[in-house]
Amino acid sequence: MGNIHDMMRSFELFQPTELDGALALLREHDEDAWVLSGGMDTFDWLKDRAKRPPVVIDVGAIEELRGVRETADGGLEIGAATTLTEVIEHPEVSRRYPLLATAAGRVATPQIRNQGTLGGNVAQDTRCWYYRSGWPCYRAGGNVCYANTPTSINREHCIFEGDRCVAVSPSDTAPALVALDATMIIRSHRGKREVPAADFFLDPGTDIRRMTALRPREILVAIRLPTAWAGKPHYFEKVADRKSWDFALASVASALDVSDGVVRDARLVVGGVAARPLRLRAAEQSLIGRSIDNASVERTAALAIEGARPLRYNAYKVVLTRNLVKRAIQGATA
Amino acid sequence: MKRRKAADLGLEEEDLVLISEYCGGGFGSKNEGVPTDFIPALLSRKLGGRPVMMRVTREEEFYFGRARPGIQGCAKIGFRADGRVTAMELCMVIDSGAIRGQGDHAAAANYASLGYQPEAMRFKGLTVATNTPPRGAQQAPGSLQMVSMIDPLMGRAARELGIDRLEIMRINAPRGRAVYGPQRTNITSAFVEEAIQRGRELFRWDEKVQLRGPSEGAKVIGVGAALGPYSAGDIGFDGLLIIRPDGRLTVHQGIGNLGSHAVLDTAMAAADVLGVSGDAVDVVWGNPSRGAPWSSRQGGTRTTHAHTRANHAAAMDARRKLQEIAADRLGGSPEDYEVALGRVYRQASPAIGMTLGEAAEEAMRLGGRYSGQVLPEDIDPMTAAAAGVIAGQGLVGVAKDNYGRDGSTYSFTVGFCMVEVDRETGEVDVKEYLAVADCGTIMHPRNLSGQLLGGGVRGMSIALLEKWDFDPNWGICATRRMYTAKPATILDVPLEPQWAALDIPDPDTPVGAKGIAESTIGAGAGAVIDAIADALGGRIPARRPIRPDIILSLIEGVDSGHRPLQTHA
Repeated sequence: MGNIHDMMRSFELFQPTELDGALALLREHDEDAWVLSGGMDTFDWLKDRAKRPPVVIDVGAIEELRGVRETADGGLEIGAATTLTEVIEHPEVSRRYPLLATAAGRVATPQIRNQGTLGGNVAQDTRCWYYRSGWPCYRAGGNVCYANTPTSINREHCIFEGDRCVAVSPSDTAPALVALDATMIIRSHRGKREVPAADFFLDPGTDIRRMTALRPREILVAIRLPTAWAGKPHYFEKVADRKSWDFALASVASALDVSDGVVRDARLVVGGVAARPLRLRAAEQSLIGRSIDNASVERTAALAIEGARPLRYNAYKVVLTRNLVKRAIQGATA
Repeated sequence: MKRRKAADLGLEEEDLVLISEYCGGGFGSKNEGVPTDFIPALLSRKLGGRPVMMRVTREEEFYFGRARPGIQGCAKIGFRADGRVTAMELCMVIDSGAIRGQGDHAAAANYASLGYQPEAMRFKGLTVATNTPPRGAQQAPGSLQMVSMIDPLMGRAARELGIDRLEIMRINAPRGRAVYGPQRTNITSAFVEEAIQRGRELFRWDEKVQLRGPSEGAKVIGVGAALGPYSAGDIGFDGLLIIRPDGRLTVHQGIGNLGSHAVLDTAMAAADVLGVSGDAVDVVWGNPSRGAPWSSRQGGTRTTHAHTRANHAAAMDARRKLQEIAADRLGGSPEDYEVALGRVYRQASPAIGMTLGEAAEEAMRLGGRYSGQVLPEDIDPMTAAAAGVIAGQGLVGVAKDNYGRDGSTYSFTVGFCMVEVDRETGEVDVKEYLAVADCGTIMHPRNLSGQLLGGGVRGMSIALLEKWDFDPNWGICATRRMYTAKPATILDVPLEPQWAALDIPDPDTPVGAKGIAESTIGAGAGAVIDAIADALGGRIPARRPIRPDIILSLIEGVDSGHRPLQTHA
């Protein structure tokens, strides 16, 4: 299972300046093609020689994929190739959707945020070290999970929805986008389709080979934010070993619709504890129609961790998730 | 290093030129040379002398590089009511990796004996080989592990005895020519009590301890301290310098530039003896073909002590020669003459004298020992060869460090730390850190600060973040990348850590300077761990690094998954 560190495999590089050109290339090269945006995920795979695509399509020069635009209904649409720094610094993002700005601001480091894109952040592959090292696990097309054994190194793996794969979603912005009811805009040569963020991320029971609903020959072109949660009380927290340049051990994003002291609607989403950002629907329901007090918070937090199945080294994630959910309710501010 | 490499390659020493102008860290583990160093040389020879570069990836480094030996163990310590350690029993198991036994646990026992001065002590050590990469000395081998393990126990004892944390450190601190180890070896000096007092004042310890306890929300403040001891100097090496007709002083160094700039700072010991300002000093280093005297190896914090002494000795030799030349030319006896401000002059009548450049010209005319053509008999052959490179070009000062000393040289760093622990997430915020050094005469304040704070930060990184994991079934390392091995980032340590040093000379060395590089890391690690334990009400996390999962598992009583004597997980 060792990686061979000979010369990097040559690939054919395309740098289209128009989206249609990129889509045509994807149609032509199909599963041979690898889409490159900021490269923060791509280069790790290529440097390790764990992925050796014959074709790389760099979409960084396609202006249509960048920028923040107002939508007809007053929401925002963010081009998938918009850098995380641009997202953070955009005045309308920080004004209307500070939850997303905060989450984006916790990604990695300033240098990575300057280069990494919002689309890349949500579409990135899992960081399970077995999978990343090229081990032939289920997710890689094999027939075993190396991370889910009594002796595996699985401190950073999942506590929910573990199936034949126990890897986690590493994205910091994904929980925020799910909480904001975002919609992912996807294009291919066949046309356009729109997928709610909550359905964009896949659990291993649905598809063990892919982290997202992106199919071959498709590009994520934009992310649309509706007005429903704009300006609402929100909370984001990411817990990691380091204060910078680290993936979440667990994260939480919340958005609450509160009036007259009563929760009318709620979004509670946790990251780093499942293969996808996990919307805690049962916990949300327990909060709706109630005021926020110690009892409701405790009850909601208890529901949030029901069904958690820790691995050998990550029982702490159950406690951590519970505590983060409490904070996501009590700490939500407009 | 040159001598060792020549032997390993089967070459005569004079047939090997080892150029090492800039060398990074990790030198302790490379002190003995690494077999892979020879691969490019041997391949080049096979290829008829063509240059060969060997490039090692980060992943490959994890197969044959050197890591710190991990230590686990048990300690039983007895205290009097006033906090004095009456007895200490240590049992340590060391993970030696795949190749050979490492001595970190034995060193740890010696450092415990030195740092806490127990009235009675028993130590048992066991070495275990594991199917993991080789081990070697990393910064402060044995001392870092010991301080990380034992100092928090001193903190617990202070809490249970109702004694101030610094008082329990003070009452057990080594003093003067303290003794340590089973052979009861003495050290040359220790001013730990002074360092503790200086730190108490600078850190405002008495105010900080009032802040302990809940701060905001689920966060709680803890305050801690630790004493890091480490060996601090070697002796018996050679110094070589030349004063040229232009009056400039050139100090030839056999040591290289590791980034700490001791290669430059130790040269100033010669400049100070000869009264030459820094801008009139050149330092030759990195290429033995330009004349490199026999020098200490650069690991184990030897350099500052060894080469301030060696350069001082060479400068004293040059000074005597200057006095003799002046007396010969200008009358009187050598003792009538002083050397300062670029001149050698009669003390009673400063106008009578000559510049150093004039003296150098005279030395060239006189030849013999004055210009390096006749050498002392006790210098190393390597130094003699180096002197041959510069002989006849000026006034040569060359001498072996024969100053001797009574005991071993050690330096001490006391670390002071305040943390804020989030009891709901397990995260630790290191708020403040101060390092106070007992390292003898300060040679270069800025470089000293780099050592103190750099070592302290490294200690915090090891205490809180860094480790490697191996899948025990497949024997493959899980943490080969920067983002998985997790060295501390600038945001994980205090943005403005502080430092101070006593500047009290060691009495057994003419310049008074002791090394400092390695006592710093244990101070950082021990202080932050002690502070975390304080924040957790005296509960000490049993594993390092202390990451959020370890703290949460301790607080909530959940299974962390780790088992005693388990390692690399």
